[in-house]
Amino acid sequence: MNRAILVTRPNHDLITTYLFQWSQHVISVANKKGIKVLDLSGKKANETTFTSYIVKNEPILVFLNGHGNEDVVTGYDNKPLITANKNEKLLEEKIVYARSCDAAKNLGQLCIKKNTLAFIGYKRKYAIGYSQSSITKPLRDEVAKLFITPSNLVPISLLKGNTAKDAYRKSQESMIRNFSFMVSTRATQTQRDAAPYLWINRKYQVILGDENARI
Amino acid sequence: MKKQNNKKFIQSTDSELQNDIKKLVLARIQTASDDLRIAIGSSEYTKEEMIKNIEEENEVGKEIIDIQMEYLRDMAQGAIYKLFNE
Repeated sequence: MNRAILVTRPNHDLITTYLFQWSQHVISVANKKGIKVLDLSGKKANETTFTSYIVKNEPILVFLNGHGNEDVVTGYDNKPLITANKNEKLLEEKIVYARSCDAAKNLGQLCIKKNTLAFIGYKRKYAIGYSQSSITKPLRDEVAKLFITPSNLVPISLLKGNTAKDAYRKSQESMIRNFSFMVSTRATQTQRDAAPYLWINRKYQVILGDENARI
Repeated sequence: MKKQNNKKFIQSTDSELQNDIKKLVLARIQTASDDLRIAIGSSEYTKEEMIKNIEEENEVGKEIIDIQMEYLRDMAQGAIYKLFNE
């Protein structure tokens, strides 16, 4: 098993484009730490390339960005990368963070049964609030930042040597801090109106498997 | 006859409650910033689109209502204070 991270980040619609751009922060941290990054960006986020990179490189951490449901996490053009009862075994002996809707509900549980070390994900639809006026410059979106920065903390904390449990805890704490800012008078109205959605992300983010797993 | 009347009363109360909940969420979204967009799952919605979906009572509208109501219930029960005290 290598100290490599595999990142899938399709960019075929607005939301995947936001996640694509914000995932660059995680890649930068890995680069600074000297950890090899297998970057399946854009059209490279397809099942064939995903499978081949996993088999060949055996990354210890898999960071999935994309749409999904309780049985599937998708890549470019919403085509499946990982499907329950089909290829979840690819994730065995790995720590997985799925920034995707509902994936922890069934797929995550199944992965743990098939020897994935730890799976962090969401048991409900993952929501992001963002600002209409910032859609051409996602990294400067002061609403989306409040949602995506805490979720980036999961892979960033793992890259820094934290356990899966600590990575999860840091992400939860960051969401609580951002939520408390959003409901304060310091927030803009748009940030305040987006607060319920961050609340739900925090509530339904879960960790499954070995909480002491680390890369 | 009495049982049937009770059932009708419960159904009508449920329906009134659902209607009140819908009105409450609509009012919250209507007063939200015009700049706000929300992505839920694989789709994104402007404020106007959220209002339309709620009014049509479709799946997206129901999801938005569920999120807003769960949030309001949690806040009413002091969930945020419990988190701060942990």
